[in-house]
Amino acid sequence: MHELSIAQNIIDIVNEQLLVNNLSRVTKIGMRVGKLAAIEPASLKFCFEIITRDTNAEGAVLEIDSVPIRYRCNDCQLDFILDELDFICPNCTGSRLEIISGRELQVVELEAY
Amino acid sequence: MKIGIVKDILEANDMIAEGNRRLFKEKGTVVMNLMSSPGAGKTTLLEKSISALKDRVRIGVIEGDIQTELDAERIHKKGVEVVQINTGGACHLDATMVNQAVEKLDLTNIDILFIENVGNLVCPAEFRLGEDMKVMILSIAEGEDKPLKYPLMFHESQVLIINKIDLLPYCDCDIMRLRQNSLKINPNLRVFEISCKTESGLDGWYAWLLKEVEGRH
Repeated sequence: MHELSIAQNIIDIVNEQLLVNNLSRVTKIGMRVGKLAAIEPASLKFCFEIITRDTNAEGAVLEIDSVPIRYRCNDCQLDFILDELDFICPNCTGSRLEIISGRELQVVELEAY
Repeated sequence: MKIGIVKDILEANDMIAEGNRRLFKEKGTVVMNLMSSPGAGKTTLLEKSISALKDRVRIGVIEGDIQTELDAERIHKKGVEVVQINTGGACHLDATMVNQAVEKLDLTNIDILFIENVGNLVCPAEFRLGEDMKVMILSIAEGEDKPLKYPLMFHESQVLIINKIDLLPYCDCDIMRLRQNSLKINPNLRVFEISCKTESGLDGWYAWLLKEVEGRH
């Protein structure tokens, strides 16, 4: 949810990086979005497109790398991926599970000039 | 030109939340973020808790709603410090809103601060406020499948209060199944079963709250 305010946050990050690197326009924005971040990529791209019209980010492509929910079982040390929130280990049925990825909501790369 | 960075998009909120947390710790205030669907019983639970405990601990409240001061007025009648945040449309509180509200409170005179979040089973889970713990309320009328349908809220909380147990004879809710579903999503959840109406189970909740405050001092 909140794709519109997330899109605004992306633009803030982009503008900060353009300033620091003395560049004027961004053409591509690489992102890592974990499944647990509950962000709908299509909705995010749509909001981004709307709010960047007539700005220096207009036309920039959002490339979203989707990160799966990866768990580690602290009982049997198994690392595994699941599509949903669940806390029973498929190997040993232990419940001491830790989420080690899947919550990311990051900008990781920009292409700009 | 390619620029490699790793910027967390919610970093701004997290940083302000961390600032809030440091302030609360410095002032010795225990802070609980109270979350639930609209109507599950957050404000009523606060009214009951304040009546029972205000002579033993100093309580403050931040109320979060889209609109109106209705909840703050109810809390004010109980005789404790309260600040109302109106989000005007935002479906959750964020760290900035809490930071601004806290300026209107005297934290040195507050042992436990309850932040009553906007009624919403989805978004509040994603936004840290600087709290010590997230306490969620689910009422019997909402049904036993909600932990599976709204997992993030249950996963992020440390406490689950199952409210309105007086409605069990009238609702198709299997409370054992509700507990199981909750613990499946979060095995570390501390669960209380209560009825604000009949006051059943409230003593356990009060005792736990007092222990949490004592732990801080």
